[in-house]
Amino acid sequence: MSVADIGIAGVVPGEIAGVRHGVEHGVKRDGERRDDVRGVERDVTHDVTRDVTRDVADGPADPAAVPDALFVPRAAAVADHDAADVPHLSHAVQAWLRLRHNKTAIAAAIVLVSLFVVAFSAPVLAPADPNAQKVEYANLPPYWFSDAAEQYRLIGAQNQHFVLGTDQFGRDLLSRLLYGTRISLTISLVAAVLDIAIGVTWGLVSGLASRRVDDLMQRVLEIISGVPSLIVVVLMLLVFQPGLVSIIVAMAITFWITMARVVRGQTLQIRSLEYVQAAIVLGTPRAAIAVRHVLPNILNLIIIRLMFSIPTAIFFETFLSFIGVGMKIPNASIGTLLNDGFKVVRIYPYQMWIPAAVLCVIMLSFNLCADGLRDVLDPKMRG
Amino acid sequence: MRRWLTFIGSRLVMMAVTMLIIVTVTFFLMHALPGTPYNNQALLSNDQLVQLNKKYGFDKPLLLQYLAYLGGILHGDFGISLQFSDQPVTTLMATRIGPSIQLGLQAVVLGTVLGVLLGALAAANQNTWIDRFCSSIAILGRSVPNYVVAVIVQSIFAISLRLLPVGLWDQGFRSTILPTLALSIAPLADAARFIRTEMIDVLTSDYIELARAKGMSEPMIVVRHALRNSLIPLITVIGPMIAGLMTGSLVIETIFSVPGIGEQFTKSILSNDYYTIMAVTIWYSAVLVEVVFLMDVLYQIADPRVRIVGKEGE
Amino acid sequence: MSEITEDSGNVVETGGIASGAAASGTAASAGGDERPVRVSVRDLHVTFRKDNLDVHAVRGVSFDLRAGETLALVGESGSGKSVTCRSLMRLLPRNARLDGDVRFDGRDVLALDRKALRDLRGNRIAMIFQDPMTSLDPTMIIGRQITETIRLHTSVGRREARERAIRLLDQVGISDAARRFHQYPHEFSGGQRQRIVIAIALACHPDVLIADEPTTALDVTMQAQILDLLADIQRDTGTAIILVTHDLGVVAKAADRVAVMYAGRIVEYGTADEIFYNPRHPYTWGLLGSTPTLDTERGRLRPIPGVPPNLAAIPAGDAFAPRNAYALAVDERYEPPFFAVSPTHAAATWLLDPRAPQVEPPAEIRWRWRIWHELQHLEGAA
Repeated sequence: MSVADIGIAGVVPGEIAGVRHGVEHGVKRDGERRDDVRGVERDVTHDVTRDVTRDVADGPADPAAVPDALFVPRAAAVADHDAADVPHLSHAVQAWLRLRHNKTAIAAAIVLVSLFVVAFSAPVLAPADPNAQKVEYANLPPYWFSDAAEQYRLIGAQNQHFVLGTDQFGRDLLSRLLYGTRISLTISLVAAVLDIAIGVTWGLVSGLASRRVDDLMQRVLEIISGVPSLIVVVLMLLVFQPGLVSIIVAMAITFWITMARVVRGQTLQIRSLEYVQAAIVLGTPRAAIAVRHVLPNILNLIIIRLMFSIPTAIFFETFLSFIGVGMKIPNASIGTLLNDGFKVVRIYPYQMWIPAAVLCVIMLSFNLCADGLRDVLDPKMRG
Repeated sequence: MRRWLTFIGSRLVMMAVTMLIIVTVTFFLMHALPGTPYNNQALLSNDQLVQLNKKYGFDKPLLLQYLAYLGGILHGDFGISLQFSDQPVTTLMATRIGPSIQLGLQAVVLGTVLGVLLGALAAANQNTWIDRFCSSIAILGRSVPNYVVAVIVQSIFAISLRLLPVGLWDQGFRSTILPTLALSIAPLADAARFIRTEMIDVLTSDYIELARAKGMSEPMIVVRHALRNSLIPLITVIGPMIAGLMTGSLVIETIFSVPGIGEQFTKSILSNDYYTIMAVTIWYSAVLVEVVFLMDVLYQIADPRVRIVGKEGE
Repeated sequence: MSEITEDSGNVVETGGIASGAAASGTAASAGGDERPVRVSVRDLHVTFRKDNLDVHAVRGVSFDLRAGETLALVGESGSGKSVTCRSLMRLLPRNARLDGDVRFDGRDVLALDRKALRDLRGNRIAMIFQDPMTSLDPTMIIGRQITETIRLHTSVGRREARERAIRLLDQVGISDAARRFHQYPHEFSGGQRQRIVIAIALACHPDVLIADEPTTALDVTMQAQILDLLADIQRDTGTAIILVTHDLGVVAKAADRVAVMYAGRIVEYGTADEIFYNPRHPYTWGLLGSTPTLDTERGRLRPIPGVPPNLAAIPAGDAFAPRNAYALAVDERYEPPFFAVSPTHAAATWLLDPRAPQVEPPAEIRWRWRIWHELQHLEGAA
């Protein structure tokens, strides 16, 4: 960078008030050579504060362009600040700032929220009683299908408008889908929360307990994890008769294993940290350590796992209905709708594909949201 | 070598204990089932019920029944199916294990190979369109349940295009294609995600940086160093993957009418077929326990850091 | 005091001539050195694009590296020393933008295509990393990690590569090399692993060896052994070494010339003696003041106050000014150019401008200056 490149303008030695910048802030233009961004004058008669971000394009100044009057010790003291002075954003805010950039996750979240609102407004939105049978209206296609008008007319239902058609008992499929989604969401949500709660508790206790208790709890885990969860759920449901509560319980007591393992690992890790060791030595109760030190540190993990557990639970619910041990008739869940639809998929494909599509949208939204959350909450995963 | 023996020995003991507990719990759970295992129980009189119970030994004290059952298992006798004309469960299942294993293996191999490929591609091209494409496939695979996939491929390839059989197990390999495809979706998605995460981690490690500094090309680095290091931990998730596959096989076998264990299980559930349900439960658990054990051994062999060796660095 | 004034007087005199050096801002190699220039860096800028911010990691670095010499890049973490030396083989993440001129044996490194770049890496320029515990592939026997490099850049067969690798292991001080060839990294100690990494780096007899904090992760005795090993290698092979470190003790032991970096710039460069005994930049003073020496009196270690600037928003003027107790008003507005102190020594501080007031450096620095003065005196007498 030669001296000649540096624009010098209006330097009046000694005239401090009118000092002009010899080396100018260049207009930032990406990709251009630094030498090009010079020569623009900027008046600095007003206070030049140190925190003015200087364009990196500026190189060293030419001594000849620097006014003599500046060669005096500067007035300000040495800034002996440390990292703590740097404005600190809370984790949640930082996470949100990062999440905001993940458009897919945001879109998925919006879809999810809408789905929840719609599903839980089922009693208001549903055009009919989801379980009311009217056999003469059986298996009507959605009224907006091209050949629907003819079929509706044939059975004298011209004034009926089944948005998603009817099933073999003439039940309104839109209403069933709304209520079914509500049930499936409820089951999966409650089951996921329960399974996380059990897992976290088990993991915390195991991780903070004495060696012997920990060992015992580990063995128990090992044995339980030797049984395929599917089998456990099915056996549970055979014993306790399918229904909302038994499905939730069966899933909750099966799926907590992973969470327990992860939480135990994290707990052991956090427990070995010096400040936690110090707290233990000082006689802090285990419960207090769990709440004060471990839980805040695994909160991210809990949120992420919860987001991943819900779609798993939804899948399992539909799966159970599919093999015939799910929700009891006549109640609808997405699983029973799919199962009913599957039986007639060759003849009335809409009866299966519509609930299937809803199911996929829910699963996809949860997975995308969970992925997005994991990316922002789990620092190890960030690229 | 001695450490190997102790390792394997203790694991075998643990496996035996696990299996015993599983058998016990299943047995008592099954006997807590409401209803009877007989086909047409509504039509049976009390006398007939007593007769039947006597015939099948259900009138004996539970503990005796349990011990008899345990003894039977040791001889390979898993009781008789009450639904399928009193056939021994062992014979009933023997014919069904083959298709299930074939299907499972094909799906695992296809799923993991494709999944590893997708995951590695995504990781090596992180944050590019390739990554987005591969990750989208993985996330779709996780979000679309396998029975939906099954019905989709069945409608397209079997019903509309008539390229492959709709179901059954009578056309050799051709019969296995669609169920394998549907079943492989889950392991594919799992493997892709796992490998992507693992490999992104590996790719930022110092030894990869050193490989770059050696002058190796990116593809070479991925194949020689990154893939090897990401594949080893994949071994640890094969167990859960197999468990997931069992779940999947229930519906897939039912949808494609594959005469396998899964299809048998769905039938037995609906008919309270005690002994068959128990046998399938034990079978599934045994497979899972065994797979987990084998993967542990494999992991010990594959990862030099945990490998049981006698020598240490000076 | 008079000696110091005299010294400063020299600066004023040379200050004028310095403009030439200042203009190119080059940490030029020692005057009269006839050894060929291996690496020449001019006005190197490295910018990382991260979260819509430009992080200016390196901002106009220039230096030459001649065959057989050791140049140390010194500075706090984040001063750009690591990024600078990685730029020589373009070993930077994808979001890095490099500007300026980097030449290896006259070839424009920044213009090389991938293939040519790979031919350079590990072959002509090799690198040693900071942490030997993580820089070897844990799943591959160390022998293959060495032969891999050999076979990549030469056409030797498997067996010959193996023999060469064993010789290399022997050369870097791994005993029983033929047997240990087949062992995995975890079977070696940290120091041994660093030796293996050095063996990998030496595999193709590189012209330039970049050692990025090669001893930081090792204990003190290991440090000395590794530095000795590097010195031996240099003596035997004539490799030029760039030693990146924040440890002035390492620099004193190993370096011919030193460039002190701060916030992406070289702020002072000179021969090792010049930097240690005639430091001119307040940042160098700070670094020397915060390093223990045998002569350090009790409680005399003074850390440099504050933290390095945010490289995404570097303040106007001299980036060191906020932490500089000797800062002048001018430092807050104008970036100082290099002022030559000797043909081999220059510092970028306005304190060397003839118009600057005389400042009194810390006692320890004055002590160092005094030693320097006596050294000069002795040399003059001889």
